[in-house]
Amino acid sequence: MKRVSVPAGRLEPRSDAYPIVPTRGALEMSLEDFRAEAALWIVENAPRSLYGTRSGRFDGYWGGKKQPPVSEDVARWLAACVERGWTAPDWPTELGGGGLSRQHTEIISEILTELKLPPPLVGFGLAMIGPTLLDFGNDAQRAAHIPPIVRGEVRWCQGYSEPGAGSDLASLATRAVRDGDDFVIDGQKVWTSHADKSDWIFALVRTNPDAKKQSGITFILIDMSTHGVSTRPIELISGSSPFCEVFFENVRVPAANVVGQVDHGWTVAKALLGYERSMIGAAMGGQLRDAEADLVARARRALDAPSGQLPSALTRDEIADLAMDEACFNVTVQRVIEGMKGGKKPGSESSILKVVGSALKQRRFDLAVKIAGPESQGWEGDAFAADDLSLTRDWLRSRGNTIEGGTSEVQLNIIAKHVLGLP
Amino acid sequence: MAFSLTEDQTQIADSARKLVETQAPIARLRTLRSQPERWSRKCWAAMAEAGWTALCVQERHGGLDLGLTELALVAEAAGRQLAPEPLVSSAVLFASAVQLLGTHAQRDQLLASVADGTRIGALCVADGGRYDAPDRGCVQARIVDGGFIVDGVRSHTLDVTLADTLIVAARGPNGAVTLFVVDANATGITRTPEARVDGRDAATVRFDSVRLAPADILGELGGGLAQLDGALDRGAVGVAAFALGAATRALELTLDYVRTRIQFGVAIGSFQALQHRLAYVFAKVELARSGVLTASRAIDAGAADGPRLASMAKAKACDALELAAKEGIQMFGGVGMTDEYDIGFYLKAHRGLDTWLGDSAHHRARWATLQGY
Repeated sequence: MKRVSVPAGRLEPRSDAYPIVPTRGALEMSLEDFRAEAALWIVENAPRSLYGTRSGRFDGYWGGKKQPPVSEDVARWLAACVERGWTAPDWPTELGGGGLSRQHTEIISEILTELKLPPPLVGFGLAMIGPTLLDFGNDAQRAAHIPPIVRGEVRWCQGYSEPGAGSDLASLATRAVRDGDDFVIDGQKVWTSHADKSDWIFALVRTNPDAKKQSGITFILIDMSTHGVSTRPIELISGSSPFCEVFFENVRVPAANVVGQVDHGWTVAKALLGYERSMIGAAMGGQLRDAEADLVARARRALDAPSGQLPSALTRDEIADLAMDEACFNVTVQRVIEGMKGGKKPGSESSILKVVGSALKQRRFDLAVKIAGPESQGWEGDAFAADDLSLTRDWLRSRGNTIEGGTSEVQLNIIAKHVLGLP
Repeated sequence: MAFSLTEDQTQIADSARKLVETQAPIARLRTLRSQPERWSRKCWAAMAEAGWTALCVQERHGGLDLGLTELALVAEAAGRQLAPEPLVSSAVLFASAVQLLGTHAQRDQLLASVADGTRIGALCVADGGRYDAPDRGCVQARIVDGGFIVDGVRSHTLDVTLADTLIVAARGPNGAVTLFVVDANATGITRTPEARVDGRDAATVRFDSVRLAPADILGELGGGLAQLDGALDRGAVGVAAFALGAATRALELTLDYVRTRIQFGVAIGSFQALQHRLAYVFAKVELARSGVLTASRAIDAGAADGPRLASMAKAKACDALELAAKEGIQMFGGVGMTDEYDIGFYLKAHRGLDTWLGDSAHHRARWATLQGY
């Protein structure tokens, strides 16, 4: 990654941030000039309290009417970026985006990462439904939904899975029946992340029960404040979770909210799943960095060996084996990213990222609880260290890694059929 | 670090694969295994002609001065057909040891002929090529009349039967190990060929009062085996690349078989029980490929983590080969157990490749040591 070059003395963030209008159009300057100008603008506008607060890829404000920003500075940072169109730098300016290129967007995100600044806004609006509407929506839908997304006014969730439609998503049964200018929707969605905090849901519904599987499905946008929509959070083996069930009882939704054509929503859904897979794959690549150091530190505590060679040959072997696999995995991620430069399709090695990344994450936690031994048995309270309690929860939660976002079994099917050419 | 191949590298890989497929197909192993010479001089000459033996030798010694990245490409191609020629022994291990430790005179004398393939060099420094077992001190050097007399036995030593020059490790009276460059045909050296599971050239080497001069010392007097670390890391990446090629090919053979083998009226490759396991093998092979790519580039760049990544590449590539070969035999079924089918060669090759230069467990332990735990 290129270093951010900021003139000396300008690195101190201002607390009275106020957007500065760029002197030249970003598209007319070189990428290097843009990098310098963008860094300057960010340093001028990002509130001091936000520096260094970003740890994970999904850190940041998720927007919406139900969850206000956690601080005034978060709100101020969002407002500054909205003003410049930088919550979605490469979306069209007339819809509230920045009108920049993908490269410009990457530069901005590199600068934010380097300064450990959270992005002004994150979520499924920016990452999933926004790109989908830009590709498949009509003008009215874009005008109605994109500006609230880029301003962080509306938070979206994804209504795909159902109790009877998991890996076999196309067997979904939530019904939408046409009635005048509306569809009337009945059914249930499940595994809907943050449904209880979201304002709108994009959902797959069955509009033609007689058509075969994929053919009778429609992609529709539903305002969650509509009468008949309710949510219930799901408790996991690891405790509370962002997942919810969403119930639809006689929910009236305007037919104008259908994205693409009625009965042809599968095409839209597949494109959107593509956005989701790349998001999860990238997250996997980013999250696998520090397992070895963490495991060694745990082993030193558990084995009472503050320095030198660990007294357990088995533990050494297991940590080293995992660390090697993680290093090879991270190189594979780099290979995929490198292979996709210049807009090329990802190589066959990209197919293994989800299945390998999720399994590695599980192995890391499996090994950690094994090393922690008796300290891994806690659930809550103060009989166990907070760090160990969260390890146990994370270990349980990691069992879901090979299920969510396409089970490992489905991923292996895809590799076998599409990469290995098996019948 | 860039992992995609340059145009030149792609060309090297393509022509290497073509050379191996036309001149060194795996079928030859069936005749070579019963010949006194376990590899083909004709194939070796073709490999040398193509520049393989010169890849890791400096230009002023007649080499191409390319790196392990390029060497790994040709070793991978050789591994696909399990070519038994002493590429890693001579062009990587021996060449690197002389280049890294040799005096001007030794480099001038040895490297040009290694680079053009006319000299075969091999290491004779540890029983069975193992660096993870304690040295049993079976080869001893005494100091007599300002020179050395070497006695002892070294067993299971790869690629020495047809070698011209050996690097021998011998323990002196004070317990310290010294490396020597020795003419393989010197008086007092007898090489008794061994019959190996992988059919490769190996011998028990006996030293009976072999006289050596101070000028034959490679590196420092009493400098120890650790002097070879740099050469062994390069060799480990060479072996890893060879194993990667073998694993890739074993998987291909198995995929071809399950696509065409009909049972219960369908190709057995349509069964999910096999598909998932093959997809898993593919994932292991791709991870190992990443390991070889990053280790070879790190060593070429002189990166501090080169040794650790070389251990990773060796362990991961050999593990991938083991899995690909075992799953291959299982999926071939009964015919996989027959000598008539090639898949069994890959499992036999794994036995030798895994042990050579330290097995996977050794390299994991080394990784842990290098990482400070």
